[in-house]
Amino acid sequence: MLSAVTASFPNGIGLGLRFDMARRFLDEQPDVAFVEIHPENYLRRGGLYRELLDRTLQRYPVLTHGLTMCFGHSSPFDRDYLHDLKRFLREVRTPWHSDHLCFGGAGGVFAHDLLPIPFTEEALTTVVQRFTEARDALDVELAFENVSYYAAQSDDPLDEARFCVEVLERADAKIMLDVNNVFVNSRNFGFDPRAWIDLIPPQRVVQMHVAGHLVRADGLRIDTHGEPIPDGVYDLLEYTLRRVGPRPVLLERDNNIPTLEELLAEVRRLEAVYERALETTGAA
Amino acid sequence: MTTLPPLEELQRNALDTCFKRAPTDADFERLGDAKRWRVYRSMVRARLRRVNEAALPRTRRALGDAAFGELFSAWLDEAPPRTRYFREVPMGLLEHALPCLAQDERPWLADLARYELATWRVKQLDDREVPPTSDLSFDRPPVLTPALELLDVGWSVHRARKTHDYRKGPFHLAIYRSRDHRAVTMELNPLARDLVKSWRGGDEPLTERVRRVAEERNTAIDQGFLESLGAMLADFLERGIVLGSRA
Repeated sequence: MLSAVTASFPNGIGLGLRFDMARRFLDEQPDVAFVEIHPENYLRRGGLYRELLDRTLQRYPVLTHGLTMCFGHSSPFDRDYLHDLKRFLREVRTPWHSDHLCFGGAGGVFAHDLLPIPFTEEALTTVVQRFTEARDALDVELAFENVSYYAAQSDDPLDEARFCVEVLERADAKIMLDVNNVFVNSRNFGFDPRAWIDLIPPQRVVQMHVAGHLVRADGLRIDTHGEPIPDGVYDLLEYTLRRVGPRPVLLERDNNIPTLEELLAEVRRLEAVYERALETTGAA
Repeated sequence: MTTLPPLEELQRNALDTCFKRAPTDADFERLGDAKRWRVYRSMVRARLRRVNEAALPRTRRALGDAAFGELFSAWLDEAPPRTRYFREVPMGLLEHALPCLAQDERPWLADLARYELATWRVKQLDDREVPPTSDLSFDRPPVLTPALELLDVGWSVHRARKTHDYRKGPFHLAIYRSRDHRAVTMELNPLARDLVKSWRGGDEPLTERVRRVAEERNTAIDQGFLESLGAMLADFLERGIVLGSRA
């Protein structure tokens, strides 16, 4: 079950606050259910980013999504980072925090990208331990995000979903379900994305992400967050919402950021999908 | 599937294929899906290159793409990023590249890179941790904005923009973040530079610091000095460089 705090957060469609659109977004204050931010963009930082954050907090409910905790890291946690992050999460009053089921560095070196972990027992043990340690240190509801990956990590691509389920159960965790990532992986590795979604316990899902992605000339799909959401991702979102029920859904757009009007048009289309999905479940 | 090494080793190997100058086919094959790990190498390097180019645009133009790429590759190979904050990545590149830039036949090149990075940093410095302040008083320690960098350069890299006909210095620069979040550069004379330097941190009242700097510079504290000091403080208060005195 979702906790009372988690369940009380506004459902609907939110938008990721990105520097390229933030000033106009905050000037016009369009109607979106919530805003998501990356703490690493604000920790130990002043200036314009801090001003944008303060303005956001005055107007919108905020969710946080980390970039560098990465639950698949084999290296110990940086305690200073956890300390700063805990303070920040309290400041922005997020009901939960999410980060990625991957690794982004090792031995103090950072790739600044999301690199895949193998779906092995050793990785599972590492993830569960790291997730639990982080949740204890941050003292907040914690969720992991399933990532897009490009290098095969097992012979059966549905092993990723099974791996996620194991983490959910062993760590009593929540998942920030990235629908675009499931779609991208399904196309890159040839599996049914609905079968993937079906394996995830709905009550463990606290939030969802949707985005567009790049299709390279060789057919490989890359999770760039730099394109409009394709129809297949809208369809998979609708399917997931019917199964999971109302949750906050975030539109991620990090590259090739279009005009605010175009972004909001995507938000409105997502809202229509959201309403339609939940009408059929009676949860709208 | 290939039999994979233990997780920690796998992750170190993966980072090596991203950062080493010329990883071998065997390095990629150890990770399993060699072709796709080459995609990761390309993505990781492109992203890191972009942030470095954003922080050091004039330095990159002066060097040219090939030479900048060589510095970038050497940095990744020998001292890959150790910060989790993406905005701090260029600091690592510059720290690694400075000895090389300092030996370049263009004597201003290292100064240009240092200046660009100082302005990049000033825009982001965290300025929330300041002690409680009151109106400026000579009897109490001054409080300066943390969003301030003092930089000594040998060439006027802060002036020219498109050409490289820099004037030989030295130049003493104060780079601070304005209220509308721009990095603003001021040229200081040596006495003003020493004064501002002395005003950072510490518990001494402002009077003591001014007296000490004047002594060190053999400068008489006469009417002219006091008038200049007053004008400087008023200007710095107006700009938000001096915030007041510790309450």
